[in-house]
Amino acid sequence: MITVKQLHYCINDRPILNNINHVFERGQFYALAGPNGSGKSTLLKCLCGIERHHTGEVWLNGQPLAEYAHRDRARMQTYVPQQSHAGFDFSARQFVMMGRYPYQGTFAAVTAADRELCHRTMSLTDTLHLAEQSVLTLSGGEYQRVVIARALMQQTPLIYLDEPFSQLDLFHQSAMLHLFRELCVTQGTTVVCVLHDFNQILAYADRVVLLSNGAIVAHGEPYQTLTPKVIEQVYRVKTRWASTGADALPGLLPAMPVTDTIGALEKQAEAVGAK
Amino acid sequence: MMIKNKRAAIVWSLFGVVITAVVGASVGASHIPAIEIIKAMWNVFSGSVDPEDASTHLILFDIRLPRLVLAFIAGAALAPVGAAMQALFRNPMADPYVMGVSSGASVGAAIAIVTGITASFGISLSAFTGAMVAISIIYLFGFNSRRFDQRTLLLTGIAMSMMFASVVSLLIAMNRNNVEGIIFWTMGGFNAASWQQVVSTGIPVSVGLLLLMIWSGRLNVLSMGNDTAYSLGIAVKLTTFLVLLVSALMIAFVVSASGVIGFVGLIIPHVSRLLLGPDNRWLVPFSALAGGWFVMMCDTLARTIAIPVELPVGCVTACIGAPYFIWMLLRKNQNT
Repeated sequence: MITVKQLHYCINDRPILNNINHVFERGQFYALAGPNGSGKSTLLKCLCGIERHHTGEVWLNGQPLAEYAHRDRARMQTYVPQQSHAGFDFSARQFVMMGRYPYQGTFAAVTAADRELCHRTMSLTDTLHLAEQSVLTLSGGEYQRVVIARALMQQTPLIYLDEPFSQLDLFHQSAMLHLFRELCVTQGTTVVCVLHDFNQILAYADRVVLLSNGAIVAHGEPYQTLTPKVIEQVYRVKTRWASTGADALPGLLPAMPVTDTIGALEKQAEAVGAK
Repeated sequence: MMIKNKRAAIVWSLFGVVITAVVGASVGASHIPAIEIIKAMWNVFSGSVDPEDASTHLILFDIRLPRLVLAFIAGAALAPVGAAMQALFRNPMADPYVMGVSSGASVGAAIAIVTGITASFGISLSAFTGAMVAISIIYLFGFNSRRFDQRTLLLTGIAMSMMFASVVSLLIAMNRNNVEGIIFWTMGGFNAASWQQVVSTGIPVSVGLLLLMIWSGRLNVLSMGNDTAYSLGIAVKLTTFLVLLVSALMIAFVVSASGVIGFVGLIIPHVSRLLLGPDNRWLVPFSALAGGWFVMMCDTLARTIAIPVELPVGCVTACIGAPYFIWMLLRKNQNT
């Protein structure tokens, strides 16, 4: 579905992404993981074409991404940013309905099919009760769900998500993860999602791509890739497998005492000071 | 307070525009009854001008009507452009003048006045040139950055406005005897309105307005933020480029014909948004009508409130508009 070749990206000569090569397969749920500042969001922006000042190539369905017409591209892929602001007080329904923009003509009215789709999408994201409310009055989590609903309205076979669940409560986090998992399985949708929670990655992702300092350090099946050894190298955190029940798959638990983490930071500060 | 039936709102505001135009044509130093206006209109359309009414005809067709129409055109350009700028910059403080077009035009006009080109056509031409210079500078710097974002554009525009404003001050300081001319030009007004001006601003403003209406759906999407707009299939940089260009040209034509009339382009979009909601597909046409109506009404007040003295129309727009706007904001906050 997506092929990245020799992608390099710098800001002011500081390398952010370094020689990224990867193939993302159709119908898979990809988790992008890595410590803060490892280049996850930037990679996502390069993949979907928001960031274009990189070297290397991004291909979408056998065609360079840059060659797509804007409207065609918006019917192929959607992107949910890490942060966005509503700006004007559109109602949640109007806001979600804007997801149909790539399918509408200049003066075309909203069709019955659009309304039907909007209703379904808003109920899937548990936002139907907010439909008439102004988006400016929504809570952080509610707004995030409305943004997800708008992205789903684009009905694209490829979805990019940048930490889309950071403000959702536990119920809505798993509801949304289920929803995207479901799309992968039933519709063959490809999902590329920045996720921080290892156990969510283990439970929902088909593949994980682990970034560190702007390079892919590991990728593959989550249970084979996210081992305590790899995690310690990349995240400086000790973890261990923990059983969550007789017939459930094990999860990862942090095993490092908090004092150790602070000690590591202090050591780092000393090292910077010594320079 | 939000109006549910938006089509009816457009029809009613059209009706309001016509009524205000008739009232505006009738009042003034010499009163012309409404029935006379309708009669004179009929005579013009049927091609039979009554020689007895020559002076009424002159006042009506050579003085009042072009003035009313020009005022309407100015408002119908300023308000929708203001709405477009607010959507484009995602900033409620944006107005048609944030791009520095008006201050560029002021410098042009001031130079013309100082150098003694007093014919109004010369001043207009010089003002237009000044506006074009301002637009070119914005495009040269604002669109050149590697990572395009509207904040750079906005700040470039503001910095340039300030620079041009200080050039005007400098010109005033060095040419004390032209203070009055420059200041009165900057305040704006329609007292020199002619049919020729109506045509030369009306045509570009109509074309621009039509384009803004066609692009209003894109403005909605663009007001969601650049990344989201991109994801929804908008060519962000190109759309911004085109909307700004058309807006700047509309404002350049208006400002060079009638000077810098403040407040309309900032407040009418907000009032329209309070009435009709933030959807630019309704907001652009409605605010054009509302803006046109508002300027026409303010100009009529400006020339009749203290006959024989004419007040600057910019003062009237602000004096009426600001309290009304604050009242509307307060009412909105009480309701929610």
